[in-house]
Amino acid sequence: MAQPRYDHSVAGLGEANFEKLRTCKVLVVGAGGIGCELLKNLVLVGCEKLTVVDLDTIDVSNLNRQFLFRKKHVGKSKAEVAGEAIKRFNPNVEVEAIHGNIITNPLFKVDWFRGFDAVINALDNVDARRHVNRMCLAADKPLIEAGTTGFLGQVFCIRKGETACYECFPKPQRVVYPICTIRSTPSQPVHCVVWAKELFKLLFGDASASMLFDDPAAEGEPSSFASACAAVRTTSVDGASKAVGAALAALCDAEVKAQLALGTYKTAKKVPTPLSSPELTDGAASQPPSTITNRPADWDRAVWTAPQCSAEIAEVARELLSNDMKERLGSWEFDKDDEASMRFVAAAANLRCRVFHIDPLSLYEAKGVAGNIVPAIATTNAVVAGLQVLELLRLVEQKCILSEERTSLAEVGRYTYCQRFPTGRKCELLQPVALEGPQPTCYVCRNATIPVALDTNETTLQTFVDVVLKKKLGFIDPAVDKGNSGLVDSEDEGLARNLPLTLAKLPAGGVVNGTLLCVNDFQIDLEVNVEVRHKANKDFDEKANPERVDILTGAAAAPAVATHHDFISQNDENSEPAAKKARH
Amino acid sequence: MATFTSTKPSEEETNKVYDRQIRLWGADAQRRIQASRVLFLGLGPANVELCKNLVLAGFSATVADHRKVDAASLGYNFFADAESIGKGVGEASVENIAELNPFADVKIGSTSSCSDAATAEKLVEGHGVVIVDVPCTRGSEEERKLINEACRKSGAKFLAVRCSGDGAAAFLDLGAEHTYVVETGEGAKKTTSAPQKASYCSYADAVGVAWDSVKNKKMAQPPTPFLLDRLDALFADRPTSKKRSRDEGDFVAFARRELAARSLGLDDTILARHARVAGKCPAHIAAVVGGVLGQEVVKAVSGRGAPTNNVFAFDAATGSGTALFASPVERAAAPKAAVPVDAIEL
Repeated sequence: MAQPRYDHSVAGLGEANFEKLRTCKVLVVGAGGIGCELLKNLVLVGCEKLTVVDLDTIDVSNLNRQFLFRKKHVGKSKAEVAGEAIKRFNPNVEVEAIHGNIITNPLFKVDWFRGFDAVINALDNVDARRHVNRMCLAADKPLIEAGTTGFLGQVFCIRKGETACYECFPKPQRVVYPICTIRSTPSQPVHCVVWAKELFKLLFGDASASMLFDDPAAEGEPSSFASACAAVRTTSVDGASKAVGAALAALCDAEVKAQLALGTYKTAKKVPTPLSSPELTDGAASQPPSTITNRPADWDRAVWTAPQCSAEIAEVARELLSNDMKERLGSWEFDKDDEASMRFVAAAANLRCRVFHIDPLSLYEAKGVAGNIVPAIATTNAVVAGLQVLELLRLVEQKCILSEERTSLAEVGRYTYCQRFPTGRKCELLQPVALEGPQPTCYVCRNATIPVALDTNETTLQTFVDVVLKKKLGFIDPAVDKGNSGLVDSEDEGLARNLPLTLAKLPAGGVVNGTLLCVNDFQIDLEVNVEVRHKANKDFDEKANPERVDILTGAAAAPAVATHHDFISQNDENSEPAAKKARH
Repeated sequence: MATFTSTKPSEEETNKVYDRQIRLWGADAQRRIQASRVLFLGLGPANVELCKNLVLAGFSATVADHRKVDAASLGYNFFADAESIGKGVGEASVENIAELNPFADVKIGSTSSCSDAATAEKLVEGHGVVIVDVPCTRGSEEERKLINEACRKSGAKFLAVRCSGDGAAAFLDLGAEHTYVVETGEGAKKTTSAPQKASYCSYADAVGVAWDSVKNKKMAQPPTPFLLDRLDALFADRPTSKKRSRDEGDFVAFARRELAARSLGLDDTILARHARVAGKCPAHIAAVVGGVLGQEVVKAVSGRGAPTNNVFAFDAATGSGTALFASPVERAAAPKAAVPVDAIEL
């Protein structure tokens, strides 16, 4: 007999199925917005064998929905704090909480996944979802996937050979902005925000990695702002206002005038207007908005004037140049939750917007853009996490898991959309539809060949590995063979010399139009064929596709999505966009 | 009564905690939420979830439950623990509810029953929203009608929900005249409509309609959870002389009779299962229902987006959650802009 605390579960499931649920080994990947809700549901319904993995630590902006966390937990491991909290909800539970990265931690091999009966994702980014999908396919374990964006969400099940996998359908790709858009022709606020982040890097971070950096060794005149920007880093705290004023005057006045004189904007629809240098230099010495005493609560919602921006940047410079910060100079990286870098980016983006006649953003708005913040609420997470457990119970009841029989998920699984308003002819707020089957074009679950078009005369093997295999196709440590000859293998040092070569110049006849490559990755137990097609660089639209690569099938073939959630960094909750409507 | 609040926080501090939701529903909606207090009558499975969701969002809360914590309730009430078995549900839960959000004010409310309009009005007073978790209150359908009338008088939004192992049904009454705006698009393309009005019928009117009328186009009969809810209400309120035990056969025979009298029918397996799981609601079903209804309360209080008018039914067997209309008056033709054709298409 099950304990009285399980009465509510046993009533519906019956003793036998409840016992299966109680001893079912469940892996929960993610202890954030969905994860907190999910873990609570699991322990309350009686799942006693849980493992939870999350790489993240708790932030104050999580507290409006990640209800296992309190203010005193800020900075601590999500997995560990959540694991402790759910033991209080049900002391019978054995929970293994692991603070770690599901993709890179060597503990999480395919065999480790085989040790579970079911895997439930509570993730916030495409990369980790893609990885767990591949591991579950390799380990032949059912995966219950979910995602939310604001009011919208979805839940669905995946199992090898029975249903479509996570990568059977196109996924939004991260937008990469062409360097010229950032350096010369911004047309949207996000371009100015990216520029501001690059300027932050140029001034206080790894300057040579900034898009705004001019290699002193390169031919041609360095930009007019290069020396003024370099001077900021070497100045004293007392000299910061002056140096910042000079750098901003160079960036927003002198450089703009220089480009106009060069005719850069002769054919442009919108011609930039230089800002006034004295306004920027005098402004740098004025009162920064963040330091006003008794500033109103919504001070970050106001759009700063140009002199205020200048003052704010000078204030940030003073903070970062101060003695106790000095050792970090040259290694600063933008972080939306780091106040100083956020204030800098908001102010710099604002100035950049002004030059190019784009409506400037407030600090609050700039933070949303710069940090790819996806709105998130407790209610949507609660719904999808509830539906995930409903699916888990179905897998048990319908004998998809923990049974000699193996009912196909194609028969019992569902894809459920969580809608904001009643939708469809049934007026549904929760809209279940049948699961799709595996897609023949899927290179992940159907081993379909992936056609890839690029310039074989210009693309190096290194770029092919980094951009095509790792970034676009999600390999972690790919080995590449052409017929019997190996081209890439991280364990074969002799092959490293191939990496700088262009594809066409590789040994054994090169990789040219029509070459079939076999790509193998033991870490994710995936082997696929890549068919290379030659497409000259000049035939790519550089604006739309600055990487000059076409993936012609499968999940990686989706066009980039350029909303203000541009997926450049995926460090926030639930950046998986919820499906817009049922596919049926 | 004990209340649990910390010192008054600065707006800057609350903005940080509420950042991700303010980005979704805006500062004005957030202010309305923080100014609103919800009365939770019965801390059953649905209200535990609703209470968590709404207190996290910034609502203040009054919780009232006449029952004592028992072992089975630990299967859904994560605000209580084994040590609190035997204590009053409100007393055992209030501290943990308050801990969810130091900026929300959480207190225990009166658990006395309402026998007349005056006591109902007193109970409702000071609350912007009243949510009745039906199986976890002593009240009959008559008492719920009294509470609803008091809400209509004071302007409070009213919700009654019954959750079981099969799913749930909920009635919403946002008043004779509920005003809201509709937003379409996102970011810079977001547009807000002129204020729209929706009229809700009273709870008495909603539960008084012919069951068969409560269905959407192309439905052969009302969704199962709605019928089961109505059967449960009748079964619970049947004359005491007929109340022996709630055994399976009793309920199935009763339900069959009541359905047949209305030319409706449900499969015996569904009825037999319901007899076992009525009054039992595993946490995950409560989570689904509490999430959907929590969002409806946010819509109602913020005045943003058309809330469901006026029934929500969730069927755990199919996973479908449906909006239904139960009212003696014809459904008003929705103004064109009121319900975006495809609100979720970007």
